[in-house]
Amino acid sequence: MDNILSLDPAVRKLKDFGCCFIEPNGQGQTRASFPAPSSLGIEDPLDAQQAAKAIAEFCKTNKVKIVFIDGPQGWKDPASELKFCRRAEKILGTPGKTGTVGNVLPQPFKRFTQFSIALFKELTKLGGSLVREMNVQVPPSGFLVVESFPTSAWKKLGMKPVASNLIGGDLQKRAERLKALFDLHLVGNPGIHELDALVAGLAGIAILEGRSDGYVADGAPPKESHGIVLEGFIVNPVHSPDSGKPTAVDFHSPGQPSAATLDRMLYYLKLTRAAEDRIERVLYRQGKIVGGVYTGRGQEAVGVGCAIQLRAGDVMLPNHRDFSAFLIRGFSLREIFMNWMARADAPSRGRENTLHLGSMERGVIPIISHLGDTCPVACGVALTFKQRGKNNVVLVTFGEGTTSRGDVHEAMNLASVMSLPVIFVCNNNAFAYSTPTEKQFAVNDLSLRAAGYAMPGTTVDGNDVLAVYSAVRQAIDRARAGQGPSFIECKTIRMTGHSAHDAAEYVPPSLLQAGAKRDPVLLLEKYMRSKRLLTPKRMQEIESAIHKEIDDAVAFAESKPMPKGADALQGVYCEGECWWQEKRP
Amino acid sequence: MADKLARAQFHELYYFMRLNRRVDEQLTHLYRQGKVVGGVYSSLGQEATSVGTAYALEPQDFISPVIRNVGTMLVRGFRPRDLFLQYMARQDGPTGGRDANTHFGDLSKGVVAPISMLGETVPVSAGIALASQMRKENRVAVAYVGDGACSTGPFHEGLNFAAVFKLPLVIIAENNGWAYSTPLRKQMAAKDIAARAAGYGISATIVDGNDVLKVYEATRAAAERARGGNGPVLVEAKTMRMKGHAEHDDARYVPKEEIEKWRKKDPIARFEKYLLAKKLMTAKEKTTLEERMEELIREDVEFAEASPLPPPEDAARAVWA
Repeated sequence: MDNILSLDPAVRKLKDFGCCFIEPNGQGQTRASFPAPSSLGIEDPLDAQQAAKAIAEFCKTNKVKIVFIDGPQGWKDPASELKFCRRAEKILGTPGKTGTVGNVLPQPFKRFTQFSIALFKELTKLGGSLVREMNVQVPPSGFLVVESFPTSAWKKLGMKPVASNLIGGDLQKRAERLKALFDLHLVGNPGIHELDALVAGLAGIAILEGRSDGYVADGAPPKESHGIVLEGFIVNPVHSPDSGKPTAVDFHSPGQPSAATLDRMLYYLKLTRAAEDRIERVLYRQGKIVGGVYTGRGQEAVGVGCAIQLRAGDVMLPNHRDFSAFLIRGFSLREIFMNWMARADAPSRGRENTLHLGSMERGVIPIISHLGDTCPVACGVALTFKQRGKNNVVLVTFGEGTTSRGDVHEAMNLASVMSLPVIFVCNNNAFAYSTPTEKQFAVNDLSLRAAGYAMPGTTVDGNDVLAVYSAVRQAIDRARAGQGPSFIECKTIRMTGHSAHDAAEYVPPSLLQAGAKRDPVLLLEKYMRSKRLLTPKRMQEIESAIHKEIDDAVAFAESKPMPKGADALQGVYCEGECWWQEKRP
Repeated sequence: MADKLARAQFHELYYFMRLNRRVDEQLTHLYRQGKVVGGVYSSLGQEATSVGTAYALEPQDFISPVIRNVGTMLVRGFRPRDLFLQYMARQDGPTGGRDANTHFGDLSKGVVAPISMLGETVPVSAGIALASQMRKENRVAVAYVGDGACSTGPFHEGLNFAAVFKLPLVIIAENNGWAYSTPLRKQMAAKDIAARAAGYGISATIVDGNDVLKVYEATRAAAERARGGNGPVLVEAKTMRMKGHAEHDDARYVPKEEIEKWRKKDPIARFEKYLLAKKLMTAKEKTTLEERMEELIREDVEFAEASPLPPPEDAARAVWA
């Protein structure tokens, strides 16, 4: 089994330079030790060239295939002064080493930044290669040089970043949490910097095992200018079902999620519910939202059960009621709230509101207002995957009203004729604006349509995230195996008006009562409690984390300006390099 | 059901199929003589589908045929001369030389002019059926689509709409194996177009499109079901396009064996054999019928050729209301 070296460099005092050597045994257990930088051969005073040589030598003799370094690969183009902030830092919403987002103040970190840039550069001369795709692969020869960021790594694992005043007992508690999550055997007592190195390096276990569910790469592929790497991915660990100890969940059917996935799904269900509540019931009424508000109340399980299973490189085309999917695919609440409030720093920079946002590198194609048109687009993406020999899938969600559109028929026919890896997911929420299903189609189950395209079709309870998960699991597996598309109908109930302005008096109260009884969030909570997978303490942790995250996002979005009138034409026409080109993988 | 047909009706079915083929042949002659403006789209091999379906309808019913359904137009009362005039773009033609081939209709005959945007016959017919339902006219609308048209959005939208409102609509899905040069396996993954019906909550039937009596029976049953307020019915007629997409197309992309296989199932030869064997038609009756047909063709070709091309100063007439 190959090994991992994770470094948390410090330039002033070599004793603050944290090193962690991680050795997975290939059976789920991992040994982590904390060698001193001097034992790696790194000399004092620090010199990038010398340090790189020592690190490369260590990698060779210790079968290290991945080196994590906490430090920017680059941060600003000398020509653009302080304006440049990398995608990775924007996404992670962290100040990075370059100052706060949008307000780059590199001066206090100048020496550190110069050292780490030089270190990356030297390592690439000595057999190191950078991460070029979100789907991180270990190179056949040499080693991978990965940028890490311990602050966000802690956050991704649901913990607070370590502060410099943490001592003894607190540090030990952190170490214990990591040991429990990843089944670690720690050699020695790590200090703050060693713990930082460790937490960042944990992403490497999943990369070495070829699993994409144990890490997440945020940002854009490395882009070079004037010999400086301006962009690049920051890779963080996430706690996934398979990382660490096997969990004590009963797998009552093949396609059921592990305890950790259940926990994540609950988190996203609750976060989605709370965030949409804040938007619809507070911010909209305060007049802070530009335009209408379309929420997915009551049908959150569809977005969660779908998005949670996609890998890096897969593409999702969510519906306007799939708030959760955007979060799971990597959009931050800050970005989403800014978009709703049409702020200048929002992904669509105040030019478009609601969930009209997408990102090629996060595999999200923006909502197309002409409902149904996402389906042929999904076929196009899937055809590209097929032609390029990629093992990725495309998942498109749409409402039951949309199924009456010709585009859906044309797409499902094309996908089946060409055997494309597309998963068509219909969230049948009983109403298309004010049109009930009996005026929308003459069948009970839309899954009956699948036979007309010779593809598998199924109808599941869309309020039961486990049912959605299981159906989607099978469809994804089929698509990845080259067996073509599937159609899944998730029956659910829209527990809100078409939009926040719509009182939906046309919806029979009995339907809403039925929906309330089968609330997807409560259903999952109940299930997890019955399986002893949810403690009151964990529930409290989730609640407080969610509210903190939402408060932060609201405050952040509100602190951002509206777009300037003079900027209105920006991004309409190409001016040299288009502003959106930098986001393309 | 077909056993209730009178002897004269058997003769009519036979006559219309023969006339359909004869008109086709004549159009090919005119095309080779350079007298046709535009292309010629043959119905060869599909005569039973057109004639059998149209013959099963009531006078108040409406049809929305497409380019290979010349047989339906003849059954609904158009004369061969209408087709000759139209194909040669003459002044006395149904569109006065403004539109070519079968692009003409007549609401008094219950014929909607063929729509070039294939698949659009379905929503248009759904509209006619909706009007019939609202006005309680007891009228069935029949839309013709090919296998290729079934892949279009309008087919889906129109059929779904008709299913929701239980409209008196009959879809004749004429599956002739080829959409121009696209074979069925590249058109759809399912084996039958009829497999789609369940997804709309409607009934469907598959019929040998080269057996005119089977086609007649299936259409008659479908139309009665639709008329009874039970919603749309899809009839899939399996047949084969025996010529190219149009006269200019030698269809070398169609495997020879496929053509040979279907040649043995020629709808006219089969029906003729059946009539003679069952003694529903004598050799003499057949000869009389052929003479009548030839006379009609001769008369109508002469008439069409005598008609002038439209004068240029008339070009803007009927463009605006």
